[in-house]
Amino acid sequence: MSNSGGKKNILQVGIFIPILLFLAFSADSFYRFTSIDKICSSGIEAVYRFRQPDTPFEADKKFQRKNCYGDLVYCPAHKEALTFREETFTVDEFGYRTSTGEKILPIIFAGSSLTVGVGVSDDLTVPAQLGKLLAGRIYNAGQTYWQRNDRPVLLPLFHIDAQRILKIARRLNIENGLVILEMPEEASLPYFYESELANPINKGKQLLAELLISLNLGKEEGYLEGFMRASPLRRIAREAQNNLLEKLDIPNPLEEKVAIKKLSDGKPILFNWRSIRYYGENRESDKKKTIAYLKKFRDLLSKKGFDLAVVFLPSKYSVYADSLKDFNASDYKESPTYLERLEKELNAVNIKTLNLTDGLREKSKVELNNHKYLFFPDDTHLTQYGIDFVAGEIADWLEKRQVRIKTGSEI
Amino acid sequence: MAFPLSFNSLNFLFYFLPAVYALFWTLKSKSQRYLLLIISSYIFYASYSFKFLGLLLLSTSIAYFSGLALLHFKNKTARFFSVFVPIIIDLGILCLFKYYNFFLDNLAQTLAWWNLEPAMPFLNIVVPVGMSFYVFHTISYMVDAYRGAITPTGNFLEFAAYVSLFPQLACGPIIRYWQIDEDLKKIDQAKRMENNNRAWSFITIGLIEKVLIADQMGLIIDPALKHYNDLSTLGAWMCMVGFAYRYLFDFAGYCDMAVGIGYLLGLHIPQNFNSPFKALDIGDFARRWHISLYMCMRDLVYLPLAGSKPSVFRVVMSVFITVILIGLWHGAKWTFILWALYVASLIVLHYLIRPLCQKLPTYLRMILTFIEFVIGLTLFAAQDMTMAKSLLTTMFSWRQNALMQGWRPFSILLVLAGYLAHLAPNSFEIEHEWKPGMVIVLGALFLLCLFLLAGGQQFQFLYFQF
Repeated sequence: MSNSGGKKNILQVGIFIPILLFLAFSADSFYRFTSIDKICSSGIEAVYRFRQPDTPFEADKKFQRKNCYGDLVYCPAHKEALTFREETFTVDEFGYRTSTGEKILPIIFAGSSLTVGVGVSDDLTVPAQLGKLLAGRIYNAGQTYWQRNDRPVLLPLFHIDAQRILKIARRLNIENGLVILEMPEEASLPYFYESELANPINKGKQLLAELLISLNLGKEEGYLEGFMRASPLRRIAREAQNNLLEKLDIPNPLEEKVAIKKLSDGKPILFNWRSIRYYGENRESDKKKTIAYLKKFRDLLSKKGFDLAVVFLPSKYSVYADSLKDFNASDYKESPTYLERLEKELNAVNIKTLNLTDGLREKSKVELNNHKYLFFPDDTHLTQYGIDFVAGEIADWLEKRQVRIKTGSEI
Repeated sequence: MAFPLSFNSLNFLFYFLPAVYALFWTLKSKSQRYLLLIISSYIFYASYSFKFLGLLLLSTSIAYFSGLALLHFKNKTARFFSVFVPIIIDLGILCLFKYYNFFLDNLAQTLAWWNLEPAMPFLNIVVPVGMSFYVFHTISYMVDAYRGAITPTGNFLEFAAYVSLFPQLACGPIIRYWQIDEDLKKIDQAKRMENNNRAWSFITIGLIEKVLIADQMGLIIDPALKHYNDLSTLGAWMCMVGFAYRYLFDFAGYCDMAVGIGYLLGLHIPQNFNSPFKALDIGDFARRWHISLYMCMRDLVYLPLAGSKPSVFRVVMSVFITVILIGLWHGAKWTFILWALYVASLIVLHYLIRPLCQKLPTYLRMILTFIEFVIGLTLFAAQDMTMAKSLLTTMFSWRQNALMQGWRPFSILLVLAGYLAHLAPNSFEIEHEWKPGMVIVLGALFLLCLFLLAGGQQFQFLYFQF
């Protein structure tokens, strides 16, 4: 170790590099305490950051931005499909997305981010639009369906189960109501959580969360998880690198995270690979597990006087596959599809279902001629056209099937 | 686990390494430090493969008790079985995970000629990370103890720390017990600042090799090789030459970081790469590339097979068996076996025409050896035989096509990597006493690595797959 004038020379590799490492660590840590709202692609990402163990989103949080964009835009190569939209995302005190409306209908709408609504504001989501059609307000119990590689570090997985739905019903003073469960085609859900919960680590997380909630420390646990997972600095670094790679004409590995296709009207559109992989897949194992899960789900709800209706939402790829320029007719998957087989078997055990695949396919083709899209080209979620169509179809179906819904005044 | 603790991850550099370092120097006694090394290594391993921790512990325990038995027994037969049985168990586990499905697949294909099917089922298993490395640690320990080259340790903590030592757990080097025994025994007397500069210099150089050279080349090579049928002849050669440098700097980078981390913890981890692209023939190359595997296979397989005064036939046979086993050590694939046959043939050829080769100018021998390696790497790195055949056909015929995306920055990287690999001294040849200006340059490159890692450019080390 060389010294100069009795002072330690910091320009030694054994001192200088650890200092740089410490400074980088400090900067990364510091930035974790700043808001990510301005760098999120949409509200759902911002409100998920500090969720508490027993809520899907951070309670009482409000997100507002004019230039939200799609969750499939990972790098400049995807920007040809980029579209911007305004979004207001408000979370209520229980950690769910709110909407306005006075008369609460005895319907709880549970499901994935397609239910939550991404890229649209609070009053324009599927539950909100359905509520308007039924002259009331429907509670949006949607949540994010995170995949295995997105699992939280500290928090237990937040999953849809009957107990949670009944808890919401108790809060809203709803009895003998209807639970609409939206099921997205491309997720191995809802049984996925059951297998995850069998893992001892997840069980441990669950117990820890319960303990912390009982000590009123759930919020702190949520903050810790959020700080651990979300690093604004790393996000900024990724953006900078994306631009650098584009300037140097170096292939960006993120480009392969999604498939870039062209619609028959020439418009570029992005798909996640999962939806392409699942297109026409048999998924017999998924089907069995889902049926077993939904039967239990239905039985628990019916004990408390609730009906269950399952709404199947096809993936964006299932809807648009045959409207793509490079679509090969031989790729078209014949019936019965996974959702059709699932629907048939659920009906056999008296679970009401509505499969929107055909309806969305037909509507997408009609709207394509007018250059209107049911899904955002740069996102996996429904546009306002898509949402309005889905809400309308559900309303019609409820009416046709005469699914009994008491009016708010009857509650 | 959510965050694998790879050396080239910010979680490792920001949290894991500083925490282990701080705790290590806070603890004073041998047992405490052994325990810390074991716990941290098991956490490190669990971040990849929680389910297979038991196998690591099993392999460690088997070898430890084998060593105890060797200490206890004087009888030749008892000593033999004290080593033979544990080695069979170790190899059995390794074969089950690594070769069972490969064997069954080939058996099924063979039986299919007679319309038969194998009675055994295919297993839904993955090869646990680092298994090939730690099994070789334990086997080499038992064999060395049996031969009397080392005295087995009676301290389980010391032995478990040796086998699981996280700097070398996932990708080696395969440290022999005699290479680190002294450091481990004196772990309580290690001096914190003794090799501090050297440690951080190795870590920085390793990270630069991995992130700035190997990974940046990978950014361009990987997509190009995905569409290998579209490559031009020049593109195919650029890809494979680049792949050779990438392989070197990826693995050597890992090993340099391992050495640096070892120094931080008072341990001397041996050199695993000695400028292999300066080799003058393929035999020389083998002694410079993945030295620890070469030494293991030489001591455990080649020398016992060849004997002390071997005939030419015996040398040839021993070379072929050893190199095929090295190929299979990398994994159960026909491309590895083909690569091994190619390398073994070259070694034998050089052995037979050595006087002739020695007359050639040094630079020419170096270039020829490198080209031989690149051709072999095409077999080694190919996903399957179709890809290997297609690449080699493109390389040895003339096909004009557009060069791959990013070829301009790639050419600059090729020149830089080529200079470092063929002409510059390696990390064990430099003094690691940097002048202030150079320290600032290293610091800037280190920060650039962190920036790239922060942006999500974290490529797995290529040797993880083995």
